[in-house]
Amino acid sequence: MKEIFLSQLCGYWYLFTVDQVQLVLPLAEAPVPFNRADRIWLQTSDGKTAELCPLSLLFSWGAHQAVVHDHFLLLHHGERLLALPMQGSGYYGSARIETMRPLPPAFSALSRQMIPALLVNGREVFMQIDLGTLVQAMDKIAYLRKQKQLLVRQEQGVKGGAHAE
Amino acid sequence: MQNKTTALQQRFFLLPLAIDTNGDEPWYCLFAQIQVVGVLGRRTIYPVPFSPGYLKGCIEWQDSVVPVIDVDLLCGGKEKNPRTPLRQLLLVRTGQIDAVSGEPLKLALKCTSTVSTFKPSVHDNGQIVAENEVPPALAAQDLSRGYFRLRNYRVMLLDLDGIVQGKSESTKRVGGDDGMFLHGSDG
Repeated sequence: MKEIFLSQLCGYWYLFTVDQVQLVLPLAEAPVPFNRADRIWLQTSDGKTAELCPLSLLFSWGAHQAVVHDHFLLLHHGERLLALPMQGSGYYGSARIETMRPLPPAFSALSRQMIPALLVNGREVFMQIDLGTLVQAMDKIAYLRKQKQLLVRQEQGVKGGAHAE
Repeated sequence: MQNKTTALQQRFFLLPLAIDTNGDEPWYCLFAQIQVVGVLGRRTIYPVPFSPGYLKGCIEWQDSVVPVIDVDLLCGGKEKNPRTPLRQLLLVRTGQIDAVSGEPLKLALKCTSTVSTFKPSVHDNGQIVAENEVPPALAAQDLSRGYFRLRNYRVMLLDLDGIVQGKSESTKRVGGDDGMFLHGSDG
């Protein structure tokens, strides 16, 4: 049996292993997020910073995106802390490892890397998110944003130069 | 004669395609009764990150997980208004076998229009469709086993074997040099 934590993100259920869960923080007790180095952070009470993960950039949740979160799920991966907006406070549970299955072969290798396993209870599908891949995705998002900002500044610089002439 | 008789006893399913036909008659995907596992009502589609646009996610069905395909997008068409409610899911079996279960791999096809059915009569014979009748968007996808005209319908036979195994070009492109296929990286 594997100890798991089930969390509801934007109306869908996702699972993490218990050892990945650092803290479940109610929104009312959460500090105000702040920007730094093209990322959004939360300062925890013990002085650590958790990166807010905009999972909506990775998941096409569509209509469910309007769902409001009332907790943050803080997860740790190595030295990094990630904060995921969550509805409800989640549930601890356990699952038999042999019942967990991979995504069907129609999905790409990268999808399978992000979602290494699924749990099906006959009514719902719970997807496990791989934190290593999530961290890589967040780094990539920050990189792409920075590239876009540089490009915009370059274009503005060129336009400014053209006007000056 | 016996094969034709057997074929006539079958029902066929027609899935309308929302692709640009320049005002000509619409196109449909044709599925034989033997391919169709069932027509499912509305249910939750679970999105999966880093998927090509036509691969909408997966559904739970009989304690298994089935990928969901938007056939319009797969065939080069445009997605209908995302707020257009899902009407049905056409669950089809493909020619590929799951290595673990030994069962045929299945796909759920997202239907925002009603799937119609018909039983052909002895007088129904397929007619060849000229190559220049096929919309460029369809021809470019290289997903067809054939095009023909049946009764008043222009139909194509969709080849889903590569899609169900993740061997389509779109799926291979995901995670290429850029590394990530992001659902909008604007921030």
